[in-house]
Amino acid sequence: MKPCLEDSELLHLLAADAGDNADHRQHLMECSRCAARYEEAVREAGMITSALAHAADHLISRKSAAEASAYEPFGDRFRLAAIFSGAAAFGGAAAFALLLTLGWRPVSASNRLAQVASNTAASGIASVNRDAARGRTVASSYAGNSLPATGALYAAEALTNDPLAGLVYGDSLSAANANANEDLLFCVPEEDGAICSTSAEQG
Amino acid sequence: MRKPASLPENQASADALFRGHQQRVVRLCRMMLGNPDDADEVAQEVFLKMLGQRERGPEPADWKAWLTRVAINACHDRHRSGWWKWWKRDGRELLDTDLTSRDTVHEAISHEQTEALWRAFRKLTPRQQEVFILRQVEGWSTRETAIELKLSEQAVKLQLFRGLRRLREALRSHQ
Repeated sequence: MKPCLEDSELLHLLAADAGDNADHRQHLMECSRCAARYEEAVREAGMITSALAHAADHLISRKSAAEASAYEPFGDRFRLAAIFSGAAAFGGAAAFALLLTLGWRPVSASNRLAQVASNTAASGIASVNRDAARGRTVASSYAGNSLPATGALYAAEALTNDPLAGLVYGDSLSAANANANEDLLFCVPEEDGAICSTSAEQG
Repeated sequence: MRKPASLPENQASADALFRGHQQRVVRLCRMMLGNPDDADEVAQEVFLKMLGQRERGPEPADWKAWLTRVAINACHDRHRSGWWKWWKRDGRELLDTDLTSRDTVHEAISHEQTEALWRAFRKLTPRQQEVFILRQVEGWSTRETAIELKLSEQAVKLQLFRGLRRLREALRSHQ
């Protein structure tokens, strides 16, 4: 007599047609233990089928489930939001990586100022004239151009050399003034142009 | 043109077909799609097709098999057309709270086991699910299943074996 059938062999028998695996079926006829195991497998399969059919009949739609649970409706939305924000972040990162690959570098105000300072040194432009009148002259020469709003501060050297390149705003001011004893011009727009005075005059 | 007198008879017959197969078709669609809303929509489509077939003729010899076939194809179409919706809904809706009509089988299987079985079934491959439904739930033969799903008979047996093995594991892990 053949050795007892393994579980997988019993399942194969279950999945096969009646005429298949004749030797295994013959063994079932001879071995009561395997026959009982096979009956158990058949019973389990029937139970599984019945339970699944029963579960399908009792499925409750998501709408009904949402009524039972206030949290449920947020599940999908959160999932959607996570997907779209993830996609957006990935796209942004990819675009940034592409820009870096193409040679783009971020330009900050301090970088710009450093660039201006080096240009200034190279060109040998005269140092800041501490005379207030000179300051006015410089400012009035740019009266036709659009100077920034009241209270804007400029690095004096930058202004005498390249006023547009040397603009310093806000928090970058301290950084701009950190490495050099530069005078700053404080400019106030007037009707006939801006009047500027040095930071020393401002006290 | 149809005779007016024949309309009530046909209508009654259509009603009888609907009543006789509605629960089975809806169940089949629910098992294939995993979502009751989608399944109910697809089942409605199936019965609309049934009405169309009755209008156009010829009537199939076996309406049960015809409806099953149409339902399976309609579920396939739903799978293909709504992948996004399908992905969004992963069949977590099983909330079988109404177990008042327990029969002897469900006294033997706990609610947790039923849920575990359902989740395991949803994790089967679509082929395994289809084979399981046709062979075990609908009671089709291996040959009929193979023809319908365009598989070899050996493949049908193998898919059923794999599906049964996984479902049995799920059942036993919750005993």
